[in-house]
Amino acid sequence: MNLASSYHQTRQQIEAEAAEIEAARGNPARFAPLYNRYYARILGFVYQRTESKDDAYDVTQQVFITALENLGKYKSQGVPFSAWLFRIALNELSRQYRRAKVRQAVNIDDTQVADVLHELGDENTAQTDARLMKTIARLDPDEVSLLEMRFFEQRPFKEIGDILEINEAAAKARIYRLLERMKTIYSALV
Amino acid sequence: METNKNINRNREPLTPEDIEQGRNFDQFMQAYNAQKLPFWKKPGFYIGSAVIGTVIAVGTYMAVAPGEKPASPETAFVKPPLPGIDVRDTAYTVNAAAGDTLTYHTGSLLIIPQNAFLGENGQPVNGAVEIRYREFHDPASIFIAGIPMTYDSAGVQYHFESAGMLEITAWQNGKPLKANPAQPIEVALASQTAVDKFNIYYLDTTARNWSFIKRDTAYLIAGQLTDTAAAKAKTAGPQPIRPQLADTKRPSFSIDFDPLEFPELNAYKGLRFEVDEARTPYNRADRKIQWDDARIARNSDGRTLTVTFTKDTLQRSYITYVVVDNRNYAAAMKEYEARFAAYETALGRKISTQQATQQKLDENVDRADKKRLSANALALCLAAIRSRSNVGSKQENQTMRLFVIQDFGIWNSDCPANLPPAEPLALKLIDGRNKQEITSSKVFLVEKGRNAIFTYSPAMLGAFQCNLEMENILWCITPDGQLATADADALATLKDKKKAELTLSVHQGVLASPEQTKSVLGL
Repeated sequence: MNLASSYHQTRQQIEAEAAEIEAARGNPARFAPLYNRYYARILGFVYQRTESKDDAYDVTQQVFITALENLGKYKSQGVPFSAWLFRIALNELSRQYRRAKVRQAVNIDDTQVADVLHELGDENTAQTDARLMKTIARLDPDEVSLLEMRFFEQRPFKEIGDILEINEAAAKARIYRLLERMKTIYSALV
Repeated sequence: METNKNINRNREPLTPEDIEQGRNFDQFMQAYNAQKLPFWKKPGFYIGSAVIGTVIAVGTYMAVAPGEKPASPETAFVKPPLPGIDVRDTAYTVNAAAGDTLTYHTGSLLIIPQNAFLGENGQPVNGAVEIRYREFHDPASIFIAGIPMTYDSAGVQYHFESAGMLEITAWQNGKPLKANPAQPIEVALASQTAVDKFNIYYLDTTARNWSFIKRDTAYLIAGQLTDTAAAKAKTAGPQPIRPQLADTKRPSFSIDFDPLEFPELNAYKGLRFEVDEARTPYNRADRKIQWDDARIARNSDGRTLTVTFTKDTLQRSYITYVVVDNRNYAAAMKEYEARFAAYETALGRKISTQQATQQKLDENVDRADKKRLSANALALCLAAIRSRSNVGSKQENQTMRLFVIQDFGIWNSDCPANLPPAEPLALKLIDGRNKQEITSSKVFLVEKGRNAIFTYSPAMLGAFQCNLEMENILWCITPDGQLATADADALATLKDKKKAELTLSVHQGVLASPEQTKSVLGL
């Protein structure tokens, strides 16, 4: 399952979207184009991290409500609107996990297992597969989020950086540290 | 220890029908209108003090979402000041009847004995219990979580300096559990403060004050763990990669790399990366792609490197051997053997240093006042220290502080402090955006490098004290919900003044994460 989609926007697209955002600031009813454009991506992003579709629908709705409430504070600064929405989604998910209203889930398919094992420098066997699952189970929520964004959703470093509000180099460093930590855990599970 | 999450395999992705089932802008707008911010929470709204009491009462009622329980005293007293941003916690699931030992990512250890949780009827519960745990080790985290840091002792207000704080709660089927005082959970907190002057306090959210528990519960187990850092400094580093003779029939490529990260590769002349096609078949079309980024990672086998190319959303990884041609092979092997010998020497030195450090840790623990620690707690701290030493914790924290959890909630290893020693001055805070005076219910002052927060009410600003010998940061939340800060340079302008205006920089835009908030605060 690859939830990634094109992150890059042309200047014309950014300007057109800025006009939509400005219009929605003055009239919430004009939020519709932004809602319709990003609904599927946010729902997919949330569903990847939750156990049920019902939870995903609820969280996604709250993400857009939070976005609309805070639209006045949004400033583009070269960061696509989608990154801002994903950031709100991560915060909302974190809040819901804490309140135990939504159960955190990691959804992974066999191809992704092979890819991550490859990153860890190992082959894909029944044993290494099981070890990888135990490794992922031991990761903190923030680490899981990095794993999902980079290796499950194949997001470029630039987008991960925009979502986490860090620069691209820092995003690379975090992914590197994540892999090092995974290798440590993975090796200890032999 | 596994954290609380389900891992699902090969779940069916969302279908277009699933997406359309949820995408309904009219329904969304109904939900938005039903829970949008009440008018008094909107930026720019200002009301006189005469009606504040009424508004707070109404606001408390209206802020409760349908179907949601009213805010507990805890959430009212401990309230994150920036909406949507809080210090994240970690959830663990334990078997209540069996107990467990959990390791938090800071190196702290949670020992959960059997039957540590009581239900509503006061009896121990069985089955799966969810524990939620988080720690606070710096002023920014404490501020973000909204934890009050003033302490009223016999009518005198103090400001807390913390050596480490934790919050622990337990839940079953969505209901909070109580701690069993007969079987208390013990937490060995990995503290970053190696000073033995602190007390243990519990945040009593009913009395809305910290409760002094006892002086010695937070016991400094090992005062000098700096040898651990020294050992890390002498780390052997990664094992050098052995070069191989190039096979011209196999695909290979050359790329730029960081010579500091791969010094041995930098020393091999004519180096190329030869693809292990048995493990990663080579796609010859990749040669034509202008990649944005190439990343090299050492593999755990010590012989191969994974090179990952990236362009936009496209990513390709190859497992590779480091190869050189026949002409350069002998020189490369000589270089490798010299580096491998140095690596083995360093590795031996590292192990030796770690063993010496471990011995010193054991001696320190033995010297601890065993009478003041239960046998279990002593073993707990020792295990925690050993665990941290073995995993090579990245943190510079030096000590373990012991908490015996009698009630769930927030526990703090603290030292009450007075306001900084300085001549008081009358301070007026000015909004850098519009040059108007800022009125904020709380103004926070921090001396960099000291884990204390000095909290000023508006009235206290008439006698503001700030030690200008220190590097200070001051901040508050403006009435429209923005974070306003003054850095050390701005505060330095207050020197020798009896009365002053301090202009604060106001962060424009949404703060979306604790990390970003810390960055804005400069902490």
